[in-house]
Amino acid sequence: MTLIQKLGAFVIALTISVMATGAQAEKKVLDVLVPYSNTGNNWKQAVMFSEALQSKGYDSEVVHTANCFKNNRHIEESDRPGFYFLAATDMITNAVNKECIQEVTKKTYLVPHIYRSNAVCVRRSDGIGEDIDAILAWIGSKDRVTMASTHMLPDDFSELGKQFGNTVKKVEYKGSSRAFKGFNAGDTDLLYIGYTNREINAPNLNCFATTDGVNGTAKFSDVFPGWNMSKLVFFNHLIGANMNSKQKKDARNIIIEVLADDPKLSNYYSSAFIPTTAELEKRGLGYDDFWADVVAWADGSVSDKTIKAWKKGKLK
Amino acid sequence: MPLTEALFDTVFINDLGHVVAGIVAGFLSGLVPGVGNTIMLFLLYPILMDSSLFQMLVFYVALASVSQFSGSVIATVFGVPGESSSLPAVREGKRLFERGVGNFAISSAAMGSVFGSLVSTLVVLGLLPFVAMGIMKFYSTNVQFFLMWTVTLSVCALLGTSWRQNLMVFAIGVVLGMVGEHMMPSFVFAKDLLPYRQFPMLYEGLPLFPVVVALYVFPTLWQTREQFKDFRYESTRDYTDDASTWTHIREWWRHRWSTLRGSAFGAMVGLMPYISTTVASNTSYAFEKKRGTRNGTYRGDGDMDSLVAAETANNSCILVQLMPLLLLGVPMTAGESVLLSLIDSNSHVLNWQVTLEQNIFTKLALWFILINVAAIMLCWPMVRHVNLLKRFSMNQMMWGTALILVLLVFYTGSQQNATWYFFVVMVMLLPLGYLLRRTETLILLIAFILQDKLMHATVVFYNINFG
Repeated sequence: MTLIQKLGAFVIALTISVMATGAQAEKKVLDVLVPYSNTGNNWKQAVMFSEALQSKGYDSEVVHTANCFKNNRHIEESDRPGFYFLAATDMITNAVNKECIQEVTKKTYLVPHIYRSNAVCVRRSDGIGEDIDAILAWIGSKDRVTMASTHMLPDDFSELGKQFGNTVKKVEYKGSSRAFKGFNAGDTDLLYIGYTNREINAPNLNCFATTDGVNGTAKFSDVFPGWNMSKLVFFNHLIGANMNSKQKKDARNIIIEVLADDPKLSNYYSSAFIPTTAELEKRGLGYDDFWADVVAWADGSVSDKTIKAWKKGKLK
Repeated sequence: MPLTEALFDTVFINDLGHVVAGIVAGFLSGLVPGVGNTIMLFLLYPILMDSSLFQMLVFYVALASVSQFSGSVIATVFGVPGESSSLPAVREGKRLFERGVGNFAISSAAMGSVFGSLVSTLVVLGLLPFVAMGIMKFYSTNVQFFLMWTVTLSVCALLGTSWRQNLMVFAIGVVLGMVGEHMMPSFVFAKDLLPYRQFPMLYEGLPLFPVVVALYVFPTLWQTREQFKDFRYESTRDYTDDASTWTHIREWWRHRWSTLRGSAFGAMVGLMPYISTTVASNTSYAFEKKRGTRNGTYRGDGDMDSLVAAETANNSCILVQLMPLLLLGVPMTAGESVLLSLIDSNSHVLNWQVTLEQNIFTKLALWFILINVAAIMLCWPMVRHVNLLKRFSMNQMMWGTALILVLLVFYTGSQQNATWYFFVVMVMLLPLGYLLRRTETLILLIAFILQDKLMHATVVFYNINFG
């Protein structure tokens, strides 16, 4: 190769490299933070979101912050825009039990995420049959009924025992995936869990009742009429981090876009009968409903003054 | 996934860097007594920080396998055990070396180890479908609870000299592991006693790296330094080898039956928690020696059959040992416990579902064979340079290792924007490390690492059965 050829090759390589760097620099950033376990539904959704955003040309990483404290620290130390999932129950558990507050203000609140039914399931291998009356009679025939669930629910299920005249014991697991696996291995009698594709497609699982009676299941309010959990849905929200108002607007738009367009994400929600952001915004749900949910879940155990402080991002 | 596809994946360049790093690390780990695989894993943690789950596993497999090769070289040439599983090599290997057949002792042990790895692979792949089916059906929390506690507590019964002292060290590890915020059950440990408000990072628990350096590495290096105070890498003769490769193969072939017996021992004993390589190698050695004595073939000036059987057995263990970790998330060795905690810190999940879905076992088994073949091809020529070690004193190596680890505390701290926090934690725990220098601090390390999993299993077990 002559000197001219070498110089030519060098110039071409340099141009390509500068163009590539330029393209990289123009990429929008939107990370997905996961302040939960890395085994359950939150993690799964975060990975799908990140992949969908990447396919739209975004620089997106899934960051496993694991808990409220680490999540807050990550937000403080990183300057990359991102978002994380948050439900009212998580907010209360973190603030009350761990004194860790997540900042949900009008500035940080992004969009409502999903409105998912919860389900109560039995194992087909237990031979109870598909008939709801038979299932309820089976529950009632036991002195002590164990129900697997995750640790994030602020309720111990004892209310349900009143309906059956027995003791219903909640068995908490760290994450829905562990609860699901434990139940399948025979740990407990019942499973209380978010109604997703995993539950719908598990061959040994019969999720006979759900909050909204979706997919031909019975409605909680019909099957467990007196239970305070019968109206509970998993109402999740997306909370932004390190965003200015322009980035926030852009994040909202791209989230709605990937939820509608991305085959994996849209299929994940639609096949489990879960309405997502666009539909929820159409129903007028948003920031105020998050806090209304917090108040409803706190159920008088947290003072108005404290909730006002939480709204400002302060503990007390 | 079919075998050919797995083979293609195996050869895929992505994992090659980790395999090479693991081989080099394993080679060094066996050369320096007292360092071992556990400390070596920490020394090379920066390499593993952004690695995939499979890369971490294949790195560990390379490290664990190759350290057995280099460990037996040091044991044979200098008569010093790299790890407790090298004791038969010290006894027989050293005598063979002094007899002038050290070259054959090293090559036969190495070839035996490769054969052992093949047997181990066949056992693992043969058992896998049955084990997986059993786990799917029966791995409930009750089973998990008993298994986790049995394996973990067995460390108190099997290691050290006093089980009371071991339990005390175990309890210290658990208490240290409990510092911070917990999800299951939901609480903050010693909320009013510890300065969480002043140091909010405490909520996240004590960081692994400084704890390990202060409470495991420091006492271990101290012990090793005392044990090998006056030791130098010296021997009455230098290592030489003029024999052809073919002669070496023929020499090993004469001991093929010992190899086979050693392989069987290793594969059988592999599931014994924490001491499997030691038990496999020592039991296999004892059996072979007894057999030789009975048949009148045992040589008091160095017995090749006994050496080959022992060295084959400890390599045969390695893949079998990994089964509980890969399928149940239950570590069977100290190195595996550390690996599991590093896997957790990298946010990877390890259980039977992940292992089967990602075809980890098949790919790992193929790499295991390739690693063993590569190890023999790479390490054997390097044996000729083993005399270079005579230039370093044991003290220099210990101080060098300690210095690197202290620097790594700074490095890992800086990666999490917590340099000084990591440093302060290490310094504050060093006095405790000094006090515990005569105890088996490996137990503390295991308790610290597994505390969260044990607590989760215990709470769920209690709620299912008694709550």
